[in-house]
Amino acid sequence: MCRVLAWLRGPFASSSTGCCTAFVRVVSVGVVPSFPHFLFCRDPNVFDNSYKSSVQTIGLLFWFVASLYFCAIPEHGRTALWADDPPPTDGTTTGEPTPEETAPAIKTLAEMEVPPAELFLTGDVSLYRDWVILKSMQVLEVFPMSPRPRTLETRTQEYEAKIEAGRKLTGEKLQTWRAEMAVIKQFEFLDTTDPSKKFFIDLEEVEKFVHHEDLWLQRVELLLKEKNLDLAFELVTKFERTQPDWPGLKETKDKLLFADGSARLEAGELEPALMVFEEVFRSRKDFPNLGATAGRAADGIITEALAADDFRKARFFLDRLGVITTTDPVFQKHSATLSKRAIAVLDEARQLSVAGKHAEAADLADRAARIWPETPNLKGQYTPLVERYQRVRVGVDRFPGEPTAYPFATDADERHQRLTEISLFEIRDFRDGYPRMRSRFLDEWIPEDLGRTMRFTLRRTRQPWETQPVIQSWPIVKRIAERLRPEHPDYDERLASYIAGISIDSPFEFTVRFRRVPSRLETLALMTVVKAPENEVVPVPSAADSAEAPASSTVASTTVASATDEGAAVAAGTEVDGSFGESYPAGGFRRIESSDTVQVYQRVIAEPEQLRDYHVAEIQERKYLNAEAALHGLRAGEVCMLPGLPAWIIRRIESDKLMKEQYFIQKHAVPATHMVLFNPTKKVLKSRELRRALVYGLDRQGILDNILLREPAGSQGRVASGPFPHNSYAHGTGIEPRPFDPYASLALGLAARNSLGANKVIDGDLPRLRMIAPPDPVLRAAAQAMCKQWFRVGIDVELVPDDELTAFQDGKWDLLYRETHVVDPITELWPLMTMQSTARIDDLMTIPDWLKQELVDLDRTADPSRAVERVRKLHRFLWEEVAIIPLWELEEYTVYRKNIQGMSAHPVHSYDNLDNWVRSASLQATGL
Amino acid sequence: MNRSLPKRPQRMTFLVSLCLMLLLSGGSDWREDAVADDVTKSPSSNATAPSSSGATTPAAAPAATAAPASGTSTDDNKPKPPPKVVRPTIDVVPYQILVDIGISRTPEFGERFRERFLTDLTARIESRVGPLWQMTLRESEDLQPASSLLLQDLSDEQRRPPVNLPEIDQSYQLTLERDGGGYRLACQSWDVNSQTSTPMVSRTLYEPRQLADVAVEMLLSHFRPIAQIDTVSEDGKTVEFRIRGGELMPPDVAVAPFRVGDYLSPYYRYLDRKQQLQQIVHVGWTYLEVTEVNRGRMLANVISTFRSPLAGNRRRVELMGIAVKPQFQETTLVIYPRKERDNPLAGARVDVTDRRPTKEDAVPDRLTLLTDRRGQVQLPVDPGHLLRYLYIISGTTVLAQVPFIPGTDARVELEIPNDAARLTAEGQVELLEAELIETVARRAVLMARIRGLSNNDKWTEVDTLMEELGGLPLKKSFDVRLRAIQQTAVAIAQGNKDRVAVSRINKLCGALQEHIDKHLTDEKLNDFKAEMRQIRPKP
Repeated sequence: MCRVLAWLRGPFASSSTGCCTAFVRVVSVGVVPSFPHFLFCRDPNVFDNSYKSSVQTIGLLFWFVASLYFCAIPEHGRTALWADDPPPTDGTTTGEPTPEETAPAIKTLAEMEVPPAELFLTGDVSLYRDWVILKSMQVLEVFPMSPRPRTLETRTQEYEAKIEAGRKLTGEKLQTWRAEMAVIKQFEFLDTTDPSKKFFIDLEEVEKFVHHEDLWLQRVELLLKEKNLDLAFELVTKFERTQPDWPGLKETKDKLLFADGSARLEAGELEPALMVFEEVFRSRKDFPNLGATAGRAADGIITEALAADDFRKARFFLDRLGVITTTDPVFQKHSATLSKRAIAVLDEARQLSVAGKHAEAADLADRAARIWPETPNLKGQYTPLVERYQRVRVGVDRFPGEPTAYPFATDADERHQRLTEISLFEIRDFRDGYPRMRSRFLDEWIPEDLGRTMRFTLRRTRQPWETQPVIQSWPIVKRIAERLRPEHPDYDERLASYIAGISIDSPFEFTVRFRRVPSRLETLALMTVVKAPENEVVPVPSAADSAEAPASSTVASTTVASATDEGAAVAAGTEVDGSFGESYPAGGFRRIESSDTVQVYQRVIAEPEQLRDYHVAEIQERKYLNAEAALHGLRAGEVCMLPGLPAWIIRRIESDKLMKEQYFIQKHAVPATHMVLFNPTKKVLKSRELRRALVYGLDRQGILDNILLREPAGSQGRVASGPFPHNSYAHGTGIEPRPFDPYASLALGLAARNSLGANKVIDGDLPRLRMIAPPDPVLRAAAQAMCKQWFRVGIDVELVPDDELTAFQDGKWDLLYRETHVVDPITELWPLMTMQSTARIDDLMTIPDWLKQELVDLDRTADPSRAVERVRKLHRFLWEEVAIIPLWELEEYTVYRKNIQGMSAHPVHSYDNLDNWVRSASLQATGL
Repeated sequence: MNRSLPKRPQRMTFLVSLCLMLLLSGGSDWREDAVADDVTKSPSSNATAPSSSGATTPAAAPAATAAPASGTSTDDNKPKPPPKVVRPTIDVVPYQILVDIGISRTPEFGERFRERFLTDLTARIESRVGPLWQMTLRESEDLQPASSLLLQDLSDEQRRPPVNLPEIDQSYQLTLERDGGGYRLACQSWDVNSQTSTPMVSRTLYEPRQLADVAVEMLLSHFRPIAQIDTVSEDGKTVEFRIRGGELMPPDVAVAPFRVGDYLSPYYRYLDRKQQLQQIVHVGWTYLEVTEVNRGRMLANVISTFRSPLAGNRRRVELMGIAVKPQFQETTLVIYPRKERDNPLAGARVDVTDRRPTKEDAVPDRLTLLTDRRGQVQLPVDPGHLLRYLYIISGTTVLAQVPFIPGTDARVELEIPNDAARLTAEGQVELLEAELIETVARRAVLMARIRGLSNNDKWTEVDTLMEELGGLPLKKSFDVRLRAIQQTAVAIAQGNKDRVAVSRINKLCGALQEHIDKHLTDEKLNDFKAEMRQIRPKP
């Protein structure tokens, strides 16, 4: 015991108390064998069992309390003063432990060595030791302490709280309190060499604890000094996995990253180095010397990019550097350089604008913004240039006219038509199932003589932003007359059956006399009257010319003398022969550039000078591999509008808060209707049983959910019961889609085989059917799924390859997957059924006579309400006859950046109301 | 059924006819003989029954009556019998032709040209037609200013021969005008007997020396000979004719009135007691195909959409035929339902064949057309087969089948029964039939599945499918629906007084009813349910 005291007093002799400040009790394991075990054992079960089973433990506790009593904390706040052999607490202690057995290994702090990395990487966890640094700067190695980290702080707080709680206690409570205080006041350790022995250290004697985790991090820092980064990373990684929240880990990691970045910088790996510095910055913004070092890394890259005039790259890295520091000389230098170059380009753009070359000026302004958007006063100069010649970049996955086996117009073809042609009547809106029509050319069209004649009055003026010219009566009358002549390619048999004659009353008035009164003239007269010239450039008005022209002038003056007359003629509504190839008045948007990746459309009639506001002058369609790539392009700012996105991408955009803030998602008024049409010339498909077998064999809801919407029972599509949208006036009540019933399909397929065999249409099994599908990959996937489902019910259907271009013309098809928009079923149903562009009697040859008669009767019905009744009746007939297989209808959307304004609130098509669009200048939208 | 003409001494007949002609001094109108008394009383101006009285034709002025061949009676005491009227048969009576020519008043067509043109024309016609025609050719002021447009706009009254020329059988109008660098000839004709005209046809040529030849060709192409039906066979399928001027053989054989394979269109001429024409009735959709020609007589087969269209000659009724010559490239046929002329039948299927289909020959090489929105269909002329057979088909029913020679008229209308009610019923019956097949098939499959499940003792699934089986429409439901279709359609057809449609609707519905009775019996279902109850293990 004396030796122990000597060991203790030695180091503590320097303490301010001048007396023994540590009290160590060492109890022989032999006296109470279970005691050390349960005291140091963290397993509560072991503790409980040992505790409950050992009466000796109680005795020891009694002894402990008694010793505390003798240690006698005379008053609150007083620390333990002495260490002495405690009096035996009970009769169980049989003897004193020898000093040799209880002496722990003790070293000074200077003697201590941080454990090697190997210990932490591969060593036994039981070898981990915490350091207890005493105030005498002596260090004890102990088993890992608990709680951790901040063991000392935690215990100190507990101690102080306990002192506070002990005030005014008396009696037994005071005694209990004293006993508890005695426990809290001391740290109890086991001897690492002999865990059966324990010793106590007073709280106040401990300077601090260094946990083995701290030692781990110290080892990392030592490795950093040694530049052994790999091992350091290995240590940190393992440490982070086990102790992600350990104090000091973040700082160590930052140091490690910075060291790594510096090493990469020295190795010439500039971009990786910058990336590492960015990570350090994200972790700690005030990391010493980070800005300068990152500047060194960025400097090399930016200099190289500027040398190659790759401003986008230079801007990109400068922006990244700017995130870390904007005060670094490197940043200052390069931003100044870029600003200077941007200003030079802007100056050039202004000069071009003054010269009337607005497209080129907008290009340069855009280029200036791309060089350095932070250029001082950039926006003020950039905005008028870009808004004078507004461009809208549209991301698409297909261009018009691309070869396909699909015989009808694709979405791309429809876009092209919308851009390059203007119809006499257009669908303005679609509400309550009815289309609302408008005309850009007509002031009014008034029925007279109970509708037998209609007087058309043409507009004599146009707004400067409109893309159509002012045209007189005769070009329109000519178009109508062409449709009345059987020998003309545009002959419209139906229109011809209605119109008895046309007379031109004045240059701006004409009258149509009807043989029969049509129920809806506007949809019948959806004829192109203005067309953009193909691949022919009409010069944009120059400033010099425009100076002479009034602001409200509708004449597109031209810079080229030869083109002036042409432009004037265009504006006056006269034909431009020869140069345009066709005798249509010129208007709309013409395609001026076409490549594999980009198609550019430009206003045929440019807006005049001196206007306050301008509108979209150019549409650039950029082709992407698929919708995902297009979406990426939208995010990257390469395009600002995406039409025809699939449902799941729309949902993704809707759920993306950032994108939703930046983009409008415009739902179209009319969903796309999908259906399967039958080849009318194939005898096998005249079997109603086979057609019904095909319907019942299709799990349309499944295909819709899994392939087209990728969402079960979503709101973006639904299974259809007819060729019209569900909200169309033609939709009959009570007609529900036929259910998926494979057994019925099997039965009907069998019945079809029997009947066709009996009629000698087939010999044996059904022939393999061929289906043409649109080129859209999603729709083709759906078509493929349909083929698989039919195969399961014994009907073999193959998909016609999209490169088999003549399959339709050669009649090598049986089924046709068609996607269309049925806006006015009364006029569109007939051509839809016959797969033609117009309603011709001859095309009804293959339709059953009774159904044919219904179509004819519908066509002859003049009363709109009766026509609606008839078309609803036809809906039921089509459903019962299975004249088509209605598949589903899909909602369509256009996503566009919010700086585009003027789009129709209920568009039927993505390019609706295009000439009234305004794209305000936005540096963000330039794809910076 | 073809009959042969009786063998006769043709040469004798010809000689007799010739003598008669000579006696008649140039030949009077054959009809005139028949109505000689009336004619003498009133030189009628009726164009349909022209008389020779006052005739001033330069070619001939036929006497109304024939004088005795030799002198007067030597016996003055006995009253002389009245001179016997000799009536020549029509096969020896030539056609009285009036050709009015209008030549444009241009300096190029001067007096000399006109004279020469008329002379050439006369000479060429006479050289080709010979005695068949007794022609009056003149330049007419009524055809000025001469143009094809003027001819086109002439009314029937203007086409008829003038009242002062009642003996004329056929009148022709021919105009000659300049057409750019060429010459345009236009021609049309009017037949007094049938009261019909030929459509105006024009030709443009650039060689003035061909004018007379082309004009003659055009005139002859408008010549439509006529014939009178002597007898109609008992079965009404063949007729025997007497050809007007048939015995007067023209120098040019090609101008002969009729040849085998020619077609005639029959018509009745109703006369009054005074043999004045009261009415002409053309027998529609009926043609007479010449099978044999023997100078003034010929045999023809009757081709008609009617069973017995010709009743033969009766008192005061003449049954005539006039040659059919297509003048157009095609004919527009307008089809409309009965009593709905303003609502022509659009989208009606018209099959065109060159022969009637039989059991052995279904005529697969038929031309199938659809009427357009105005109920019109264009029937082209086939030079190889002038006569075509038209079948107007609606659904599974032939609404009309008619023979027709396209090209004779520009536009022809055909009225057919209103088939809307039957067609609607047909569509509904077809749909019901398809539903019946589906129900029968589904029932069969469900029964098979239930049997399979019951064999495996899966009675829960059996119950589910039994419920599904019970949900299928029953026979009663089909019966009710079919009856509703039938009653509605029959009521409409009866309202239209269309017994044929009623019969067809009943037949259509009856056929489906048989299918329902046969394939959807409730007994089968009940037996199956009983069977399931029997084999089901009792709880």
